[in-house]
Amino acid sequence: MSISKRLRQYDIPQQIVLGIFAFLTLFPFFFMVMSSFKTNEQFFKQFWTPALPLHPENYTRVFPRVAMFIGNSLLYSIPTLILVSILAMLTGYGFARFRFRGRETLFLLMLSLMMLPAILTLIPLFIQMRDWGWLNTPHGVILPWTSLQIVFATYIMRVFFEKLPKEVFEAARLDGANEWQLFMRIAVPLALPGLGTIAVLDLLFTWNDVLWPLVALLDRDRFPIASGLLAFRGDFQTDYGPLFAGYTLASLPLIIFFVFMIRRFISGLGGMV
Amino acid sequence: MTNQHQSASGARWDWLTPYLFLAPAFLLLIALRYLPAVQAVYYSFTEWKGFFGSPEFVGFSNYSKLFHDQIFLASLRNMVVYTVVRTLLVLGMTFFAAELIYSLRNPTMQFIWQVLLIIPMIIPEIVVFLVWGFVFNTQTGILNTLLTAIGLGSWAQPWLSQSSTALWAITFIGFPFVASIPFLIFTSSLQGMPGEVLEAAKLDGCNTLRRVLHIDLPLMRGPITLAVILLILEGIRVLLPQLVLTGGGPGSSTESPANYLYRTAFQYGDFGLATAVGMIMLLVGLVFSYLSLRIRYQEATDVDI
Amino acid sequence: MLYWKRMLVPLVLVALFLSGCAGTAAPSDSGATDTAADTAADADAELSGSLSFYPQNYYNPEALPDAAAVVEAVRDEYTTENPGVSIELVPYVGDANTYRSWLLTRLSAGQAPNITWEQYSDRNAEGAEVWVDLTDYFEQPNPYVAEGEPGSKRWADLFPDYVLAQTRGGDGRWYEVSLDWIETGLFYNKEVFTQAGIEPDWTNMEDLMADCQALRDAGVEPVGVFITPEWSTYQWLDDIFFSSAFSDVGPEWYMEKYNIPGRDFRRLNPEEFAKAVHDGHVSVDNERFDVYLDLVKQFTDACIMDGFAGGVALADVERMFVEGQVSMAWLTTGSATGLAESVKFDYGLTYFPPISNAMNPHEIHTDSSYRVGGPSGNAQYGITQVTAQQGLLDEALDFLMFWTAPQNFSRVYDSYPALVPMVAGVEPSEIAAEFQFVAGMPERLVGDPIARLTPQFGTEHNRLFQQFMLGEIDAETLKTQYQPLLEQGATDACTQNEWDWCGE
Repeated sequence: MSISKRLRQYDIPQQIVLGIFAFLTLFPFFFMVMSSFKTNEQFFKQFWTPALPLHPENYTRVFPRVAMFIGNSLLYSIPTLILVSILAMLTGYGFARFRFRGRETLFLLMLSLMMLPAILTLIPLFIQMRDWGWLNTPHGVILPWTSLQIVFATYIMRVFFEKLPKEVFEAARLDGANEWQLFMRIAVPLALPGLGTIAVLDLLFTWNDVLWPLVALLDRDRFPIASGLLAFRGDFQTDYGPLFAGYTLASLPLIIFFVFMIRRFISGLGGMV
Repeated sequence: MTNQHQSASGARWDWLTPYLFLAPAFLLLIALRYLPAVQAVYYSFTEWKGFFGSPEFVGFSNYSKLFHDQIFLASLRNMVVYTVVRTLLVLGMTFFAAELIYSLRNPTMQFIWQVLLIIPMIIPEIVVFLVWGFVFNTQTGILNTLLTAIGLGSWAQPWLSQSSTALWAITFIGFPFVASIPFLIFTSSLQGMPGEVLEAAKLDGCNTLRRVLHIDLPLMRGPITLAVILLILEGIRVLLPQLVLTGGGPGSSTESPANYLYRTAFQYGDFGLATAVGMIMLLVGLVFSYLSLRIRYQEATDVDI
Repeated sequence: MLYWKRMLVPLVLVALFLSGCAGTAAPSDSGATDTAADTAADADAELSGSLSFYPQNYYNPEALPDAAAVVEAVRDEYTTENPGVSIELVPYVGDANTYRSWLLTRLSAGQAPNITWEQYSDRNAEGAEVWVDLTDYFEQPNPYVAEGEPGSKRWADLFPDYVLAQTRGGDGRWYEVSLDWIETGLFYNKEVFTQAGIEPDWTNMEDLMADCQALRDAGVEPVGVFITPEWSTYQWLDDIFFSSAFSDVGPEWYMEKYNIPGRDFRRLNPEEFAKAVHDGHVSVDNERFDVYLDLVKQFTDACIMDGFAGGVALADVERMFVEGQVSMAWLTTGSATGLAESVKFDYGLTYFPPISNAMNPHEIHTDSSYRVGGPSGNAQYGITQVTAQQGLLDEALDFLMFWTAPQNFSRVYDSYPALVPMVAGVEPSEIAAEFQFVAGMPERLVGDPIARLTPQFGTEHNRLFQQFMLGEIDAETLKTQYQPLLEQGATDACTQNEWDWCGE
């Protein structure tokens, strides 16, 4: 076998290009982890390369506060995730399965919210939350987050349900199931791959959102991780090691989640063709 | 022919059923999205300084102020350039990467590459921007170091520090853009493509390029539209490169509407004006997305069970 | 836990309301003409209530745990003495942008800390609408200062006159105490200097600029400063060049009410600068404006590192100095500790030389450069108006007096001695003391562009100067675009502050 044939058999050219892409994309991650083990001196001096000795104490120093912030994040992110999933399934199902007056108008009305910049409604929403007494409460974070996330999630679920073969529903209906039973028994179990996509997108958002918790939570000990990490950069002096250790710790739960969800995530989006 | 329910209990409430499915989400959206948006519309016609006191109605004066402000107009121009260039770049690169993965013969390898390229989505955005700032640094940046190393030292530039290159530099941040939703959409869509079509193409002796152009692209109209909408929205809202790297400069060469809004609201405390900026961003987004969605839904066949 | 807390708030509020009534009722019986005297200074009054306090960088448990512990100890001392008062310390939130969004939203919700940090220029722009006017209280004795020491008769005596002058609002009132000061200095790499055969013994700016060329020839960037439309270190140079170019006429713009005895060259109050614009003294048509632009451009071309106008922040300049990429870096006391830890070569601290008549043909009043330093420090505290409405003004004032007393603030300062203390009786740290020679120079005529007229003016000023320094626009273009900015800034500042000359 000639070399070029063998190269092609194992797709070597493609794999080389993909390798370069992966390197470029993963580099910020290497940089973050590498820098998290440095002192400021090492950070300045050996900027692009790892430096010895390693300084794991950066982690022990930030761990208590970061763990608290991650705990808070879970407290807001998980309920948001559950709410978004439920609401997106209900709404997506409603749009996909029924024909009713104003369906497309309502759908477009909902999708148009995607164009509404969150920063535009930040202040009106804040004032509303203040008047309702929702500031500094978990639902003051969870519900606004949910309202931001359900739009795209509904879109995904609608497309997803539209792809399901109608025969499944026909058969069940002939058995005398009502709409709610159809939804619970057939749609929900089938929707799980689509939910994987929603879950990942939703978690990426809630884990990284800085601005809303910053204004909606008065008490800093209730901040989720992204807002909490802001304090790790000082006005005059930043300890880069602990800062990047904080970022690395913050991304750990996401990595774990990704590893478990990735198959679902990829196949779920596949349903959107 | 819609919901001809057989069950006796369902018949009476038939017309209501779909609305019941939609009600919870819409209640939430009305309370937390539409209501604040309507308030924002009102605020954009007011002068409201520093969040104190009450807004004072001033008609269209905020809007006319904006359209007479060279900096704001520049931010709109930059937004268009950034959005168009970046959308094309990201579409091209992510589609290319997705095709590369799709062309691999070994499914396990396909999956591994997918995971490797997607996982970096978890990197905090701020870290990505810090690193890219270091890449573009004039003296120590990787880009200039590399150019010098391969004998192209004369191409080295202060990338972020001159009006002629700064906007292009921030457009390139994140290259090759694969840790993104468009990539995900493409890579999973390609795998979802019906096998028969591809078999037929192979039998016809289609080469790869022709297959991509004549089969993949037309089949992926839906996913591409979706990716385009998402990228346009992202382009309209671009803020982090300005916050982290350029502050909108040099001059107004990288100013963006979102940065203009942020500064007006939180540094100058001029909330009426800031809201007007947001309304313009909203309108631009609506127009572009409406056009894209129309194309998308002209293709779609509505599902009828 | 949560509900318990929620119940507690109304209870506390009721309690405060009752005690507040009692507190205000008593002095009004005895004739309420001098309310200030009845308040915090009266040590016998029963103080009670819960306050919140945002000490900014001094209380950042994440980044500065040791300092945070000291601040807690000082707080505990106060609450032990005043068992009726509890003080919640609000930890550091984030950098200037972050903090500002945090504070503005909280202010609008009436939920800002009772005593809180804010940049003096922003605070003065908000004025009495948001902040308690401290001017009358400054005249009262601070009971926590030892008898006979500065401050024991008059609280304001604790602070230097120039700090008071520079933190004064556009309406002439004071809305904050400012307890520390940022001093700047030019750090230089001794090893690179020796290799290039250079000494930092410049007699004037041309000398320095010639040496910049020598450094460039040796392959090292001369001066590390940066400029973006936001806050940036180039602004300090701008202050120096402007002060020099207008130094012969600037003192003519002083207004009687802002004069400080014994200071015949001082920084212009925002009103004085705005009035000078309004009267056409500060204008692109003034020949001194050309001198100013010329200084900026010549110095930029000769000395400022490449790539100064984007993607570079203060931390990058520090990094480039540590890596030896720039041979000089204009930084503050705030950077000194960090540099001492990470710089491995021999380095020193110097300053810019004066500008000679060769570059500025007008009469120059000094043979020194100008002191660039300012009150934008870590300890700028004001009391929110809401505090007064809650009936907690006495408590807040009393605690602020306690906090500013030298025996207390010195402990706080020593725990994080990054800046120069501005409280009589508090000694600067060793590192801060190295900047002492800068303190001896004359004040600059103008503050940073962001503090000259309005924040908007500062942003737009920086934009134009970025392009001018990069050579993207020429002096004529800059001047055509700059004049409307000046006039708009002066008008806006005048309207905001309700000065009486706007209509003229």
